[in-house]
Amino acid sequence: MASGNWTTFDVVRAILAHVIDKAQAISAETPVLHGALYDLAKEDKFKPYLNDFTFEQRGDFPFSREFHTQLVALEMAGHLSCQNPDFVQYHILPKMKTHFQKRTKRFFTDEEIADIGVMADRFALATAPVAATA
Amino acid sequence: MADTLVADGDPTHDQIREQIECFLKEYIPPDMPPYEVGTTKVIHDGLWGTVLLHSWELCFLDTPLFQRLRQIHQTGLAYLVYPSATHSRLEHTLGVMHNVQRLFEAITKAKNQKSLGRPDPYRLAALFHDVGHGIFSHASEQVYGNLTSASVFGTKRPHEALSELILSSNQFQAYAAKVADKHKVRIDVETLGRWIVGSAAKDESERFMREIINGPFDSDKLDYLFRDSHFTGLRLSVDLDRLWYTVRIRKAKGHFRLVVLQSGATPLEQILFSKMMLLITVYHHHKVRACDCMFDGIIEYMHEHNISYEIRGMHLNFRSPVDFLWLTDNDLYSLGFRTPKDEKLHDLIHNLYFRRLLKRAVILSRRMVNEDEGDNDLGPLLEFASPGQRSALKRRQLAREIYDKAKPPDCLPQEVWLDLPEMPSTKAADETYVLPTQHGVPVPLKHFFPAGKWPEQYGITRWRGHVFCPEHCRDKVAKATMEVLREKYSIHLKKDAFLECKVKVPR
Repeated sequence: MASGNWTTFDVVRAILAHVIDKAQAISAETPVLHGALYDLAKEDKFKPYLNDFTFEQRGDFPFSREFHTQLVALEMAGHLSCQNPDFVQYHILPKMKTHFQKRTKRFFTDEEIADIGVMADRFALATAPVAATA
Repeated sequence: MADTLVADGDPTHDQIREQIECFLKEYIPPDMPPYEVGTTKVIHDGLWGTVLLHSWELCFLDTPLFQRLRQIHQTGLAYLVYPSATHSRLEHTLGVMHNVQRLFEAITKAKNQKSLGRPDPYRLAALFHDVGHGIFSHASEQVYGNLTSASVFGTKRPHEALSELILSSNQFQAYAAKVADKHKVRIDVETLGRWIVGSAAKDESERFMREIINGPFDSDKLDYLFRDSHFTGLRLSVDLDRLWYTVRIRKAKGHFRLVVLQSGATPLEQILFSKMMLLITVYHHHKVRACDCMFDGIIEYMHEHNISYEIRGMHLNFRSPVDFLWLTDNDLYSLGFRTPKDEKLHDLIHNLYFRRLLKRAVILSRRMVNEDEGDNDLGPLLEFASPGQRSALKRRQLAREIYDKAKPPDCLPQEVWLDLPEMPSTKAADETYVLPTQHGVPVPLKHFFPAGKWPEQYGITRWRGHVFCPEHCRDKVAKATMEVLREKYSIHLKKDAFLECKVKVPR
């Protein structure tokens, strides 16, 4: 099934590129984001895509250092933006959409893109932002 | 004995356990030191003052296993950049014991929903928590943590996993039983090991116990923040008195855990900011990172040339994390002086010893990418900043490509490094709870202010990766890096990426 020409980084980008069709922002809460990916990674169907993520279980919520690195990298690259003063939402910047969707088509087969679409729907639902708590 | 440990491939989990037993044969004496029951000793610590130790604690402290920590720098190779940062793992260990006692007394004084029991197990966990550190502390951890054999540690921090393995060994358990029997104390090494790695027990209702050793404001953190900042000369401040005054045990999210009153939130914020400041200023200082790469280069050279290190009849090939326990910091330097058989290895070690450090050829950060050209996307490269063996291998492959393209004269592949420090994280902020009123329900600190995101954003802004190489070939390596990044990742670097390294801007 998996063409294997991609990295986990491409998978996360592809998921976010799909998410942007449905929402312009996702929660920036660490437990919410990592919990959503963890739930996907547990499922056999999605394991081939998310196998490289390891999740620490010592705290209140599963935490993946790899996923954390990817989110920070996306922020540094200017694709995600976490805005002052609340820092409760990641805004997916519009330039990301075309850029990532182009990459998705380059790296994934149609079958893989369909799987990613399912993952993205689930991820978008689980990470829908809530209002600032401060 | 030694031969069984020099495996052709990487050691399995069972072999690692066997290696630990072998290591402990040398480091735990057959007889206990003859401390009488009830003996106490006072040690004066430069940072905290008087630290009192009980007879059973001295029985551990006086073993070679713990005394070796005197010869391991707490901040690894950072002393080559901050000359006064020569404090040892042993000093830190005693400091953690001191802070455990202070934290214990503070909690005991307050009105709590739970009792802590006696301080002894927490003090012992503090004493044991860093026993798994090897040569140059975290500098070697970064190396052995990426070995295939380290995958048996899972998501545990490698040095903590080694501490746990030592505690669960037959020899340590036998020694602990002897000490417990003579001094009439209870030593449950399994529980102490679990606290050290921060694993949850089956019944996690009493999480506060492990949080004293491994939690959002544990005694380990409280010591290293003060000690590392003091000895590097960095002026950081945490209001510990306020923290002691406001700490409580309360139930939050199903667990009894350490929380602070709302009036104690400020020291928690100070802890988060101080951690980030130390990370950026000391642990990720580019010269410190260059030193770490040089150490990594020495081990890589030994791997590639099948050079082993002989010590006490052992032939260490550094394919197992346990091999790094056998050495303390000066052992590596002595190898440079006493084995001139391989001149290149001799040079690599002497370069570190005499502080002939690698230099920066390129800086990688968001500010250094040219937004007008290419994909303006450091992302695919930053993916290799992830922890773990896969990313480490990718970084080495890329550095080797840069090396091959640059063809630098008089330079080994082990002297060209792509260094991408792990991204800063303030996950602890999500697990730090504050009690808004004495009888209220604890809420996460982030409900009061973005405790995690503010310091994290600061860390992201200050984050920098580098390409290091010897000074004489910086121009060639800079040019090769520019070309490799452009061809492979469409990354176009700005002039500042080179100019800030005092390197000629490549054309």
